[in-house]
Amino acid sequence: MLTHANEVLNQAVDRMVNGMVRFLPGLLALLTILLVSVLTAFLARAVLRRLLLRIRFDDRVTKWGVRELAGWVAAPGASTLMARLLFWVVVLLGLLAGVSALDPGLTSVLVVRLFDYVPKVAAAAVVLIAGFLLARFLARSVLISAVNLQIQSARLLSLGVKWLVMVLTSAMAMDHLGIGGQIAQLGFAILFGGIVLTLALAVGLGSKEMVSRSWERQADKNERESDGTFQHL
Amino acid sequence: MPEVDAAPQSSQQEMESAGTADIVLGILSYNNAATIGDVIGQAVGGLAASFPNNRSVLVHADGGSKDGTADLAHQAAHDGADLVQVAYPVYPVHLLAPDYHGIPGKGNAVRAVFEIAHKLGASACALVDADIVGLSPAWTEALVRPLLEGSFDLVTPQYRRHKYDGTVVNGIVYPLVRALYGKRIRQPIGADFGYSGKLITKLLEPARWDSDTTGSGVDTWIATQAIAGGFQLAQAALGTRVQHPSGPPPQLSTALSQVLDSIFSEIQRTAAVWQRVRGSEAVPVLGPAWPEAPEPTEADVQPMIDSFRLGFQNLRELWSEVLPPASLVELKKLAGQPEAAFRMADSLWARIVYDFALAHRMRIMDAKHLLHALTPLYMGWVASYARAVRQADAAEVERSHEALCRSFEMQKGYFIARWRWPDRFNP
Repeated sequence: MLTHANEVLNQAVDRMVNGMVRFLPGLLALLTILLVSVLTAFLARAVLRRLLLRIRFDDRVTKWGVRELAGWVAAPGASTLMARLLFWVVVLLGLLAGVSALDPGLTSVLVVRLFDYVPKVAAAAVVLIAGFLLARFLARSVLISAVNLQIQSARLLSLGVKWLVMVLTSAMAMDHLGIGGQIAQLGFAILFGGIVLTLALAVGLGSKEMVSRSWERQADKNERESDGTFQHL
Repeated sequence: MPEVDAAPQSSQQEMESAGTADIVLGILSYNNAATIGDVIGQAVGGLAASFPNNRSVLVHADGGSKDGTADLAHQAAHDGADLVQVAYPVYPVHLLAPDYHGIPGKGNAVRAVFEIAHKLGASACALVDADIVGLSPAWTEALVRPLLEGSFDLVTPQYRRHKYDGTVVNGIVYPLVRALYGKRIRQPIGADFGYSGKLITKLLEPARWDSDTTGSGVDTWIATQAIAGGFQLAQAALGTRVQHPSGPPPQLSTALSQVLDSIFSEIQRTAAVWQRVRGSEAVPVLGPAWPEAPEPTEADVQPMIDSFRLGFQNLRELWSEVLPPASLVELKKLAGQPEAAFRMADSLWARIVYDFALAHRMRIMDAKHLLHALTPLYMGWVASYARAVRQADAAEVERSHEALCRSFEMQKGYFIARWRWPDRFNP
């Protein structure tokens, strides 16, 4: 009885030791790969940051208007942001390589899932960038036109258009990524419908008199300006 | 090609049967049924009376009128001069965004007339728009005679205008063209010009005109080509031009944008020419001395000052991409001034126009955004100008224009420096 118990115990200890012997090199490899990848990531981040600063990436991004649009994100600067992104991509790749040393099967599943997701992320990024550029263009168009039409709330109109396009873009990007499912679409529909309804109520019912007085003032102003005294061309 | 009314377009055979001509009078129209008959009648009368020994041909280029303009033109010319009706390419873009002068695809119309004048071997070609009310027969003589007898190549119009008439021309176009190209042409753009056969041959050298010259920019292009080519210029004193509206006028910012787009494009194209020019010289004015234009009604400048202030509040960030900090500081001071003290310095206005021309070249932002963003600044200048000349007589107004032009000439060095070294720090 005791001999049998001793054998079972020995076998259990053997199995545990064997398991540890099989697991420890993998763990060591994981830690080593992670360490190397973190160091590589630091290096890559520094190199990319210097490169971007040299080509004045921040200035270019500012000129394209991306920074202005992404102003609500507490970003320290486009080049720093890109460098940080590269850092975490390298660390993530290192982590995947490390996990593959631990369990090849698990990594292959993760990699397959990750690479399945990459095209969606790329499409969402393209939608976001295009949307941001469009929002900036339209916001500027509305602002300039509204100022030239002497609409006092020109900036408000411009901001409204900018946010409308950005919300629409974000909803489309989230839809691509499969985040939120129907909630994002519903949220957008409710928001958009709400804005339209608010405007309809404002013009039709609630602020009927105020809106009409505002239009009268505008018409009066336009009339005064086109009284024929000035012929510009 | 435009969808032209049922009126017959002259066939190649008919045109060839016209043989040769000394004078070609081109009439450009678009929905001008109200005036085309009178314009053609007066033009024919003017040519017959002033040039009885010269053969004249009328060329009518219509932009696809829907109101029977082409038919009426045909009828009006039936018992008089030879008439060649010509169709020219009008593309949807020309109709979607009509040009400020009312002729869609004006450059193509001008080229069509020039080609006929060239084929007929004409020594002189005058172009008038069909929207004139009460065209005087003297106009054709004023535009054509300097070409036939005075060895001039380009005759530009000079109209009798009151002090608030033509502020875009007086405040931007004339000073800019004068300062950059060194010729004092009061009306480099618009309608009613005369061209010599020699100049037309030169202008037709390119097999095709590009998009800058096929639209509203054709006037600026022709003027700069004539100046750069050393052609002889003259101005014809035509008196008052009364225009019959053929449709709702375009918004000021749209018209201003079209005018400036063509001028700024031409400035880029001819950078090698204007950088060598120093000072400016007078261009002879031919024709009768007209009495002063009647005094206009009192101008209310407050809405224009309000436009400028609204622009400053909302477009300051956008302007800061175009204008240097010093100009922005001056604009800030100006925005805070009451109407009684509202005065934009000529030098500031000249630098603003030059900075916008540079931004147009550097493509700092979308060209339409850039040019439309100038409108509130222009309104500020107009308000300042209107205040300055409120009590002024014609001589004082002329002195005011002269001072503005001199400012443009003095600031030309600033423009050349920025043009050559756009990235250099500019306080």
